[in-house]
Amino acid sequence: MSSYSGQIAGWMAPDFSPAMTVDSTETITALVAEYSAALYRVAYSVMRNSAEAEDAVQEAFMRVLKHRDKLGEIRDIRVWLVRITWNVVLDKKRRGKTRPESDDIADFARVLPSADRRADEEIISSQEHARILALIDRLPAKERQALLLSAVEELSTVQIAAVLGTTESSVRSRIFRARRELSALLEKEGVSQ
Amino acid sequence: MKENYDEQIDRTLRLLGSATPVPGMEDRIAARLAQAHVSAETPRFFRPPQLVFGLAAAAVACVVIVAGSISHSRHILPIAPGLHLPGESQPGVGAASAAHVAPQPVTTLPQDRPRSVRQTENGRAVISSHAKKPAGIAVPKPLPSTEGTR
Repeated sequence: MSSYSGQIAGWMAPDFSPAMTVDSTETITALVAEYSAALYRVAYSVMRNSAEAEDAVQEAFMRVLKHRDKLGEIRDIRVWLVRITWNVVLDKKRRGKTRPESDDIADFARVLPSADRRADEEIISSQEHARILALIDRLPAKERQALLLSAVEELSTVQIAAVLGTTESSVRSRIFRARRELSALLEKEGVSQ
Repeated sequence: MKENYDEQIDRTLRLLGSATPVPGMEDRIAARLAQAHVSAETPRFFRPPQLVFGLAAAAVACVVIVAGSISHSRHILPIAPGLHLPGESQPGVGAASAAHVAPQPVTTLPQDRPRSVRQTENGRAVISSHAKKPAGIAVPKPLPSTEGTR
């Protein structure tokens, strides 16, 4: 009954509590400063497009803002944020709101370190990465997700397991299987020089 | 060769994991959050939740279904006698190509009474002796009274 009356009150009047608002705003701003880069990498591992990855991170923080009253209950804030971002990214990927795959090669060529490389080497390398990423996309979902999250250095195996909702040993075996299968695919495709 | 593949995979994963955002991403996120926060704080005197809209839509749908059902049942036309061609809509199950002949209408009698009702005397059917009978049909005559002979 109290929640019902609270809901009625919510319809009739704005839910404005200055102390909590200031606190939550500061908290979220601090979270953005601390975790946005890591979340960007998580998003980028799936989207492979800087604009889309940034958009996913923004959407993740919008969800955090929506559920800011739960911030005090979260035990591992990093895992919580990564899980939100991961869900956002998977939703986006499912809806097919990504750019065509051909754009990924150009994206990779742009981010490659170019100080001690020749232009033709860069092109070959970016093409090689693009082909390996295309092969990663052909892996089974569980193995692929574990492998992609393992690429993010900020995440430990325990944290990856928490994000994927499984055990640490399961994550390890998924990564192992993913790498083995990827090697087999590479051998079949003849990617190596 | 296997090591070569592993190296390639590691290189790609390292590259994937070392992606850096375009400078100013934090500021852009903060600006968007602030904008969303401000719009969330603006006073709203009446903010019906989605549940209310859902219930209202369900109620309207129920009313439409009931009203449509009643209207349909009131507007069912009687089956007209005569030959119904396959093109017409007909109730029941049957071959689509079959011609369905409706039952012939029952005409009312001139005497305004049904045919099955007979006027009887003492509950027994009586055939009048003056009734016009077709030739070749023998009608038994009533037996003469035998009470006088006894």
